[in-house]
Parts: sequence; C-alpha cells; structure tokens
Amino acid sequence: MVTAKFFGMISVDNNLKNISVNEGTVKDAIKEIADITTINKKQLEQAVIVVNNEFKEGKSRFKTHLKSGDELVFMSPVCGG
Amino acid sequence: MNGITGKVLRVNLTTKEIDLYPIDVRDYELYLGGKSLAAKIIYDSLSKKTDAYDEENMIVVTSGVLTGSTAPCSSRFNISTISPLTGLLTSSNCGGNFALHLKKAGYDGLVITGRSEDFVYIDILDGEVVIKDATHLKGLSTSETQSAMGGKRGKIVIGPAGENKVRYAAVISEERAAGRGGVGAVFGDKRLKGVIASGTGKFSYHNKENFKKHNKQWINLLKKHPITGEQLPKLGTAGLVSMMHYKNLLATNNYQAGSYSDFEMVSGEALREEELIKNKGCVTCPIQCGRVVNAYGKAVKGPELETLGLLGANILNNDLKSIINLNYLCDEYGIDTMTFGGTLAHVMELNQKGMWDNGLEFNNTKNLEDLVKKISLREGIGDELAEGSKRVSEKYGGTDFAMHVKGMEIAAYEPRAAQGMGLGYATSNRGGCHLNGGYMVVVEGLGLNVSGRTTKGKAGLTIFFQDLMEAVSASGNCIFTTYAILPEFLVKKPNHFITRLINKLVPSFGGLTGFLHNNSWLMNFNLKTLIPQAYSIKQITGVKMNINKLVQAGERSYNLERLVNIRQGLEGKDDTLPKRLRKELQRESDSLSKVRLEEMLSTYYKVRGWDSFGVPTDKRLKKLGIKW
Repeated sequence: MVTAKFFGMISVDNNLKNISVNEGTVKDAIKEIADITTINKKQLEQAVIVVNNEFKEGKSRFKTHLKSGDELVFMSPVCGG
Repeated sequence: MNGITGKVLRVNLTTKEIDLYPIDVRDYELYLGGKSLAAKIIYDSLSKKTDAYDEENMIVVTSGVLTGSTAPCSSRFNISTISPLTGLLTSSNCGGNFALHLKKAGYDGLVITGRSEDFVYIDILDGEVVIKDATHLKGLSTSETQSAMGGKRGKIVIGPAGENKVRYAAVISEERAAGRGGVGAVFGDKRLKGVIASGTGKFSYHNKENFKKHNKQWINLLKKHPITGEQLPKLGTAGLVSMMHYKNLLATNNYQAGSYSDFEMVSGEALREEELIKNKGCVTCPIQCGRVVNAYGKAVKGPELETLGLLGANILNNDLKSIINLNYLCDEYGIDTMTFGGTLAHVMELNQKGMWDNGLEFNNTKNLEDLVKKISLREGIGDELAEGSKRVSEKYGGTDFAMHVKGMEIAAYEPRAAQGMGLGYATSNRGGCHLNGGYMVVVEGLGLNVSGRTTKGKAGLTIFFQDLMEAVSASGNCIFTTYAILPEFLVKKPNHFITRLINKLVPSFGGLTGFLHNNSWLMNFNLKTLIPQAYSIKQITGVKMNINKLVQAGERSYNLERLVNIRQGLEGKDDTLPKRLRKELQRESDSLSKVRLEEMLSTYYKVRGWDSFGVPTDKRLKKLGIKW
C-alpha cells in the first residue's frame, strides 16, 4: 500500500491526516482518495504534490508511478505565514 | 497633520525630569513612526558609540501613523535601543494594545534615558506622567507585574530576566512579546519595571469617508486572501512547519539539516488538533493568527512558528507539550524564545562534541523548564546561557556553529535552501532576523515557489522587501498584511502553467526591482489593492503618500539604521553568516545547498547605493535627505 498524507488546509478542512491507497499512478491515487474521502478531486489536483520527498510539478506529476511503501503528500499550496 | 498627537514624551530616570522630545512634524512624513522614527531619534540623540548598558543609552517606544485608526492590524508598537546582544541598534516589534493606549494618553512615543537608583515604573494617564516606585514589583513574573499594576490599561513590563539583564530579555505586553535584541535587559539596566498608559484622546482623520471606504476594501482583501483569510486564522504561523520540512527550510539539529523526521509531532496541524482552545488576535486585526492553548492548567498564548522551530526541530524536540510549556515560561520570566532556542542548540552541540560538559543534549527536554528559571535568575549554568550563543562560543569555542548574525540568533528558516533569505539574514540591521531581512523565504517556497537555489535577482528582490517591510512596520501595521502583495492566483494555483512560468521568471525581475529601487519616482502612484498601506496613510494624515514615498521611507530608515550601526562600529565584514551556512553543504547530493553570499552581496551593496565596504555613499544619503 501507498501512504497518502495531507497537510495544510486540505488536512484541516477535511479533518484527515493520512490514509492508505493502492499502488498505481498519482492520478489513480487522486481518484481513489476523492472516492473514499470528503476531499474533492480538484482540490487534490491543485495541491502541491510530493512523492518520497520529491516535489512533482507539471502535468507529468499525475503519471508518477507509486509502489508499495511510497509516501504521497498533498499540501495545500497556501502555506505562507 | 492628522493621525498623530505630535508629541513624544521624554523621561530621564536619573534626574526624574519629564518633558517633550523636540520632534519635527516633517519626520512623521519621512519616517512614519515605529522603528524608523525611533532610529531617527536615536541617530540624532547619540553622538558617539554607546554601550547598551551606558546610562546614555536610550529606550524609544513608538507607535505608527496608522495606530489608533481602524486600519487592519494597526495596533503594533516598536521598542528600539542599543542591543546588549549585538551592540548595534535593535528594534523589537510587538502586538497587543499598548500603542493604542499610549496614543490615547496623548503621546506617539516615549523616550527613556538615564538610570533610576531603584526599580520604578512610568504611569501615563491623559497626558499626566508620574514616575512610581516599583520595588514591590521586583521579582514578579510578567503576568503578575501586569496584574499588580492594575486596571484595563496598556502595559509593557519586564520579568525577572530583564531585571537580571539576561542579554535576550523581552518586554511583554499582555501576552505579546517585544522579544528580540534584549530590549528587556536595557529596561532592567535602567531599573524600569514597566510603563502603564491610558487616556481619552480621540483619533483624527484627514478624510474619514475615503479612509472608511478604502478600509472596508482592505479588510475584505485580507479576509479573502488565501494566506491571511484561511491559512493564518486556521493554522496560525505554525502552519508553515510542514512545508518547511519538505522544502528543507526547517532549521534542524542546530542547522545541521533542513528537515526533521518528527516534524508532524510539532507542526501547526498537530498544534491545532491536539492543543488549540481558540484563536486570538491583536486589536483591529481581522486575521487572528494567535493561538490559545493550555499550559500548566491555564489558557495561554500558544507558540509561534519561530518558537516551534527553534525549541522543536532545532533541538530535536518532538514533544509539543514541552514547547508550549517552555514558550509560556519564557513569556512569564520575560526572555526571547528564539534566542533561547538558538543558544540551547549551540550549547547542546558543544556538549555533543565534548567542548563543554554542560549536561544539555539534543532530543532531551529534561530540565529545560527549570533552565528557563536558571537563565532568568542567572543561576549556575543559566548565568552562562544568559549571554547568548555568540558569547558562549567565544568562551567554549564552536564559533563556526554559533548560529547568530552580528550577535543575534537567526530565525527558524534554514537559508541554505533559500539564498535570498540568507542574504537577508546577513544584511539585516538588527542581526539574524527573517523579517528585518526581507522575509524572502515566503517568495522562495512558502508562498510562491521561486527557486531558493538560485542567487539570480535575489539582491534586488531582497532590498525591495526589506524596504517595504521596514515602512509597513514603521506605520504601525503588521507585516502579515503585506502578504496581499502575493497574487491570489499564484498562491492558490501552484501547478498552473502561468504560475510556474512566473515563478521561473521572478529571479529575472530582480534586476527590475533594483532599477525601480533607484528610480522609485516611477512608482509615484497608489495601487490600493496591492499596497493598501500607502493610500490609507494618505487618507489618515493628509500627506501625499504613494508607493514611491512609502518604499522610500523604508529605504531611508534602512540607511539610517545602518548609519547608527556604523557609528556603533559595524563594518562590511559583519554582513555575513555562520560558517556552517556558507561552507557546509546542507545536502551532500546538492552542491548548491550552501549560502553563496559572495554571489549576492556586492550587487546588494551596489543597488543599495553603498560603497564596497557597505557604507552608504554621500550621493545616496543626499537623495534620502539624511545628514551624516
């Protein structure tokens, strides 16, 4: 399983810190998370995405492959303060 | 001129003389108030190098031109003096309500000179000033002192740490702290336990209707903006910890790393979920970034980001409750949590390296709460830690990893992943300060996503933000209002191709901001939604304020503070960072992960109009109207 973690407003607004998702691509993970949590797909797509401590940018971020043991992080982009 | 009382009170604690400081009303237009007006007063008053503990040293407490109005986040005040930590000019900014009360009492500011024989406090009520005996307040904590002073009035006080001249003693107002630079120690040296003020003075507006209309828009802007309307109210400043960890910006293990494996235990999310009782904010603040949490069975002010970072990751402390307790104790005894954290990390590393057997270890919070008391009372090992990391390193070694700039410990942002922030720390007038340094880290990863690895354009951008924040602070406004300058679209949509393009292009704008800095007449206009402060000042005071004049007021102040520091002995070589940040790679895999100061500093001096030794040129001073 892949561990998906949530930080910032995504975590606060949905009262969720982390869940496990299946292996696949980031796109697959987003669909799965949107299906089983209150987080909407758009919010996940607009989030800052980090896979195993590496920031993923651009459209290709959705194609990033996730294998068992990986960490997928979604952070609300609003983190200034 | 509206919006001001036009009076600055002067109290000599040696002679007990009370009179008015001869302030020129034109100085309010040129310096706006706050730290800038204080710098002007100190620059004019001290004619030679002065030690923090000389009787001639002065404490200047100032409000800003916005203070007293209903402008958002405008209740802040500033305390400036010669710092016992740095020997240079320090300015410490604080929220709460004291500035409002001082202005209602009839004064824009307060200049305190001399030294009393016994502890006293100053009572200001509707223009009447009395120096009162405070010997019965000696030894009391900051909350006890405020309670004993009585009444719902504005108060600034010191605790035992200030009385004992801990070099990083704070001044406390309600639960808010003017923490940095050791202003509380100078209060202690002058045997001034505090000031209490209140009055019935009314605030005057040049054009109240225009102000109110603009003010409504400004407040809406802040409430709508994703940072000031969502992030800060919901997570407080602590909400940054997570992003800082992932971006290698979180000072960890005395800045030996930029990320902390246990960050989730001491993050803003954890603080909210496990400890938050409610939000709290200053008077006139629509943001409400303050946290109320529980410590020792009391509802108290929660830790800010800097405290979470420096008493958390930086000493490898994953115990959130211990940080909350330490934060509370530091406020009660009256010491700066940031320098306390920075000094702790340094002595822990000294112990780890076998350079000083002091019993303090990373990842071990045992005895730290007792240590706050020992430092404040200068007992045992506390007496040495009360001197700060610079002086400790001069005695025990480890200057390469004493993480201060010019004597003041740097903030929780690890600059090896944010070159502009590194330049800001190195050039900040008051030492290792992120805010006085221009807070470039917000552009370099925490708000926008401009690369923190490149040095390109960072000199011009750093100067722009240093000057802007200097002016905003001087006006009495909270610097958090400047986040509105970051376009909502760019903040909310980091993956959009336009956002990514702009993030890539921003370093190239550095040259443009440098050009604008030296041709600021091109900004002779107001953009009410981008920099609302300028238009607000205009409607309150009647002064023809615009972006150019506002930013130039910041530049004028930055140069004036620099001149005070040069008189205090500052040299260009002091614009540097601890060796660890300049020479050691943060990550072995990234050859750019150290602060390349040499690639930025000469451009910084050039754009500032300073010579190669970091001294403002006659031409620049003439342009700014400063006599040297």
